[in-house]
Amino acid sequence: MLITLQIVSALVTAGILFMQAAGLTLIFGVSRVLNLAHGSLFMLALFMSYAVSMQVISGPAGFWIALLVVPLAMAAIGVVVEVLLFRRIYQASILVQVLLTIGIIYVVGDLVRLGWGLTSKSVPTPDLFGAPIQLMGIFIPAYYAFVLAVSAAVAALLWFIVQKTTWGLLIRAAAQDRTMSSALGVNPSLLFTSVFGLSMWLVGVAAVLYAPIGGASPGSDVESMIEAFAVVVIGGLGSIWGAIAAALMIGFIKAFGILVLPQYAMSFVFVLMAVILVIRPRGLFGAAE
Amino acid sequence: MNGVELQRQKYAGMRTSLERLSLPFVVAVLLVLPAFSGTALLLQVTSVLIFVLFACSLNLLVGTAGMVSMGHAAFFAIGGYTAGICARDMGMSFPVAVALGVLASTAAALLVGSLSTRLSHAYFIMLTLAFGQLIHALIWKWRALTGGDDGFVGLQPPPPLQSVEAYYWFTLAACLLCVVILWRITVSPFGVTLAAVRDNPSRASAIGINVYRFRLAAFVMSGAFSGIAGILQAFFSRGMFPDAANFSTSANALVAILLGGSQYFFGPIVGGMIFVIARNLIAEVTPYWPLILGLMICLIAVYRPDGLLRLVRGKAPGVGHD
Repeated sequence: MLITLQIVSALVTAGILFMQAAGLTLIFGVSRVLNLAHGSLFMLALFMSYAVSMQVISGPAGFWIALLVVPLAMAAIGVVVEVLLFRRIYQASILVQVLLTIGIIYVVGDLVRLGWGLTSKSVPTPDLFGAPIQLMGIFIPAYYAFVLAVSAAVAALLWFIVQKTTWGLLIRAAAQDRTMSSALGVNPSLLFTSVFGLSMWLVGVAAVLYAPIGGASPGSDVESMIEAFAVVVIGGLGSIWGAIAAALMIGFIKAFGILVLPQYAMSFVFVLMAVILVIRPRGLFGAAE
Repeated sequence: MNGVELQRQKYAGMRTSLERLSLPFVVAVLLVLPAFSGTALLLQVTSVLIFVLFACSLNLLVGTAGMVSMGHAAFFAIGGYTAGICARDMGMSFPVAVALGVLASTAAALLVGSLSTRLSHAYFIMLTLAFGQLIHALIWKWRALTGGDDGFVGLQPPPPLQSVEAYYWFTLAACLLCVVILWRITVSPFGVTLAAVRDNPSRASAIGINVYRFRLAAFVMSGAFSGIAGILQAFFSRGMFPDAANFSTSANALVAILLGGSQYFFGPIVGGMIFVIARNLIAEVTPYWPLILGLMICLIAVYRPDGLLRLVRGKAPGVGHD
């Protein structure tokens, strides 16, 4: 009974983590910039999701409108940030790249403080998922099933985009060899901007889905950044399939670690990270450089 | 070896006429300061000195070795907490507590460094950040030892150092000594080899340099000096709070390095002073100083990276610049 529930919660954690980390890994794949502000943008999306579903539209429709609007707004923010800031630092030294993203962390963190204060906000589960559903003899929150379905759909969509569309072909080409792909006529600016937008859309979806589970809290920026890093370190930076595998591993470790040592569930993730680094330094699916 | 020789000349040449004049001037000001200033200013300057030492130790890694660590706050905090716990709770004498603090930072840096310095720069940043935050979380949660978020308080420096002025002299002496040692390291064959590794790791490796070992050594040294800064901080503020280990402490030092220029040895010293003054000035005007500071950092990074970091050639292997 408990085991089944923990498995479901592990899958839910994995689904949300995957969407976050996939964005990080996609941006790194094409542009080779490590976006340290990824977690901050996730936090911003959490608060936007709170704002849309609780402050702007305080009705049962709020969640659904947030699910539609917040990811699109995040994608728009991503496009603006890429065009205004990131585009100018692809050739810069790594210190400058890191500092730009630190600057964004400060700005987003303070904007959230300015907009919503320093207290955590909780977002209720949408009414539609009020009743638990029965699965293999036990009751699980219907909302969890919904999150799982959406995560799976998003993962499938991402697979389709990356593997089956021209856009995805260009993303893979740029990830493999940027110089070659631009020499063959791929417009790098357009590609980078669109990948940033896609990645922020994923962050937006992850945040709207996560808000009713974990709420929106001011400290979630660093926390979610570290979790996304753990996923890409374990899965291999630049690999979407690695992100899926690692998100699942982390989901299970957290869900079952909490049963053993509730205070230190995250430490197990670090142990796994250290072990992976020792035995497979580039992560499970990381390519050799 | 021509490049290495050039590198050495570049560092030797960092004593431009301006710096040649300004360094003795700054030291002179620091030496006569207690005679003229009040307690409040002296406290401010002491804290700036500690921050500058931290930034300088980080710059051994960032500037000389070209590795951007996001987790050095952890070594800063480990030094401070260890020395503090030894002195307050174990009743050890001040020198022993300090020595154990440095030892603990060094050991932690060795552990984190051996896991994080093998891979590309993107991994290095993620891992230093992640392990730094792990240490932050441990300090936060290990209440019995560290006091958790209530802070570790009630720490006293030994009686001769308890006055503001005495502690200022102690900090000044320690910082000057450490900065001179860091400078010697930077211009030593070791430092020049590090710069060669930074500029072209494959070439360095081809001429027989063990890239990993040099990077790890730089990481550990930098961690040890960060620990010294942390110890100074702990006895200065009569305790330690978990925030000292938070990534924002590392980020502030990186900002100081960027402001001054990572390729000038005096860059973090100048940048550290500018950073603290700018932060305090903005904080007086508005409580939303992180917003202003963050916007300034973004603008500097995007529009003036060459102006502030003119000499950076620290290209990152595996992190694009192809």
